[in-house]
Amino acid sequence: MKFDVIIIGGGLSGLTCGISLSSRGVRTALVSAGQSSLYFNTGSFDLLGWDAAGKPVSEPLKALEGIPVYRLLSGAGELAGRAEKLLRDAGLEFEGSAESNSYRTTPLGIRRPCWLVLKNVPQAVLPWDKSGPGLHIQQALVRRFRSLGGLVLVGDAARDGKIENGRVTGISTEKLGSGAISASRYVLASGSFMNRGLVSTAEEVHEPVFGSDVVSAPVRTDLDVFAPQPYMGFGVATDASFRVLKDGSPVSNLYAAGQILAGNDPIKYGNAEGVQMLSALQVADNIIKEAAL
Amino acid sequence: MKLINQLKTMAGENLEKCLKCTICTAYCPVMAVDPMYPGPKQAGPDQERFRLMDSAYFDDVLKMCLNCGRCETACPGGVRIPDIIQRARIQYGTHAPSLRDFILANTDLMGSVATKMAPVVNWTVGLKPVKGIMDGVLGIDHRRSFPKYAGRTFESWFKREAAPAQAGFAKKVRYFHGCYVNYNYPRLGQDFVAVMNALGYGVELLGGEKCCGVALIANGQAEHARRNAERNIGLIKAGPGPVLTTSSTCTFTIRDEYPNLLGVDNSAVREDVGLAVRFISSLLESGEVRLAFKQGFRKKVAYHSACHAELLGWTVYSIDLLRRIPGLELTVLESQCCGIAGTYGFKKENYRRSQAIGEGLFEQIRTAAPEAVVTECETCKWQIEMSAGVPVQNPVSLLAEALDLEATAKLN
Ligand code: SF4
Ligand code: SF4
Repeated sequence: MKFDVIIIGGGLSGLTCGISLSSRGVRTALVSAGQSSLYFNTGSFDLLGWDAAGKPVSEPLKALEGIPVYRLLSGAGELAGRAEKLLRDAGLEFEGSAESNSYRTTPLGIRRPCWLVLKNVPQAVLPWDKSGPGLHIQQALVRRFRSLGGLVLVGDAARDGKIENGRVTGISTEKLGSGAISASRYVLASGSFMNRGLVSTAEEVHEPVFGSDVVSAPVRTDLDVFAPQPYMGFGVATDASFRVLKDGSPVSNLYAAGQILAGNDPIKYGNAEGVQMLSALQVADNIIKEAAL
Repeated sequence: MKLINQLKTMAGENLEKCLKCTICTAYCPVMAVDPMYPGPKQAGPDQERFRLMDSAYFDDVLKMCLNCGRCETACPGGVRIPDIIQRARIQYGTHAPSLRDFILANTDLMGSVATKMAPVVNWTVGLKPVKGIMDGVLGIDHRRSFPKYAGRTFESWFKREAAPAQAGFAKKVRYFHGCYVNYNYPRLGQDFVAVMNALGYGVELLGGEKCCGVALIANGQAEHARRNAERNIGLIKAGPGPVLTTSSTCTFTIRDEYPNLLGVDNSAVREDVGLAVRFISSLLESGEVRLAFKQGFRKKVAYHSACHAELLGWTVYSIDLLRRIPGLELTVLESQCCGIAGTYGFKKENYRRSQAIGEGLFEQIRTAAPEAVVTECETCKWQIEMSAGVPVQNPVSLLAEALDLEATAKLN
């Protein structure tokens, strides 16, 4: 089966990219190995909670400059607006906006800045169901993607990405084997360590599908409270249009979006969902522009 | 022995990869309706650690598991949760199967008797007093409507009506029809033969296939299942070329449960066994065959991804085929278990749970209001027809209905 774009990863970034592409008529398939960290979402989205110095941000759009990943966006404000619309079009209702952060109180009683708060959060009906909002968001986005004609390969995993002469020429999936699906462009949105977008062994951290270049951002140790975990910041290296680097040069038809991007530190900046959605939208735009789809 | 089990478990079922994230619990349809069920995480990787130390930790509630695999599909760690649960049932379960379980499990034995007396059987199992006895004595729920038995098996139809013509085809596929096609619904097998012939492929049977064994596994008769598995794999090995199926459950059992649960090595032929939709989709993809559809064909259908089709990861092939049919209005239903899980929903103690599990799906179907639901699973068909009141078709049958078979045959 041939697609215009195959997205690897069924979390927030993969789904955002998929919805954006398929809403513009791009034939898109999404390979989703198990559920993503979206499952743990408590019903709120962050765009930018703290600046590089660790100070809380009240107007995120004004503070995005110089923040990792956001640096590479062409017009973060516009992208944030589109992200909000994408969520609404999927039937999700939120309060808040990118203009100014609102505050919410975490289960630990800490007030923290945030971008959007899901309205009508489904109540956890069952005692063990701590995941009401995350599951709800996930399902709404999958439904939206499907209704736009997107195809989801559920519970399947991408493998053995082949790169020849600077281009991806094919992938296998665990369940369909090799060559069953192919596309002219690929998006790596497979998340970080928890989702196995990145895998760490005793010797190294690697990206298992394509063997993309993995880098770690310089770790800043001068801000102790916000001192990043050493593995934060690890991710795949890209060029300025989010094209994945392999052996130092960009792979012409392979893009990365979301948590897998190098330099991203969602705990320090409070920007997890913002990075996932905005980079995914940017990648969708870059693909459409470059492919003249 | 303990060590061997432990190593086997660690290697194949990925017990140690459990992240304790609880995602599986949100996707388990049993857990959603019955608080007595400990859920995939506990019943699977968590308790398995204890069972490995002492089999006394085995808990009979594991039989509430549908083996639907929805937990596995959702698990980000790649833990093969249903295998852990089913193997524990096989390994530690102590109850001898009841008469009821024997009847439900031996689909081929019961089928061969019932087909011979189809009108009587179909009539009697529909009768109130008979249903009462089945319920009271056997524990087969009286609210369940029984699948009808055909008056003539698929195999006997094939031998007389279809086999002679198959010799005329240079290219051949073999067909594992399964018990359902043979005893309950030969029509699906006939549709399969018609479609394959139109695509330029002759069809052969394996010659003596046994029930894939899925119902035996679920009803505590693993040893019998293993004998069937060995026989089937032997037959598959004996001939060349692909072995196609029209049931997602038979396919899943032969490809995955044989090695993982029954210890029957199928590695030499595993890749040869697959759903017909997969084979047809790849022929279309490579341009080897072409299709001609009936002029003015129109139908509104909803696709239901059966648990085992989803676990195979192959729903894409059916969706791909359906999307190629002009005039077909297709809704892809949100993936949910229908609740029957083979023989599970026939048991009195499971009936209510089974219907509660399926309710979400039935509701989706009522809302979509299709003329037919399309799915690859025969037991989903019984459940959906009974509970949502909409006819259910295999994708192969829908294809046979939409194709201009003669015109297609000319193209290939
Ligand atoms: S989803 Fe998988 S990794 Fe998570 S708790 Fe369940 S078995 Fe463990
Ligand atoms: S196989 Fe199905 S019923 Fe059994 S634990 Fe997993 S999700 Fe639940």
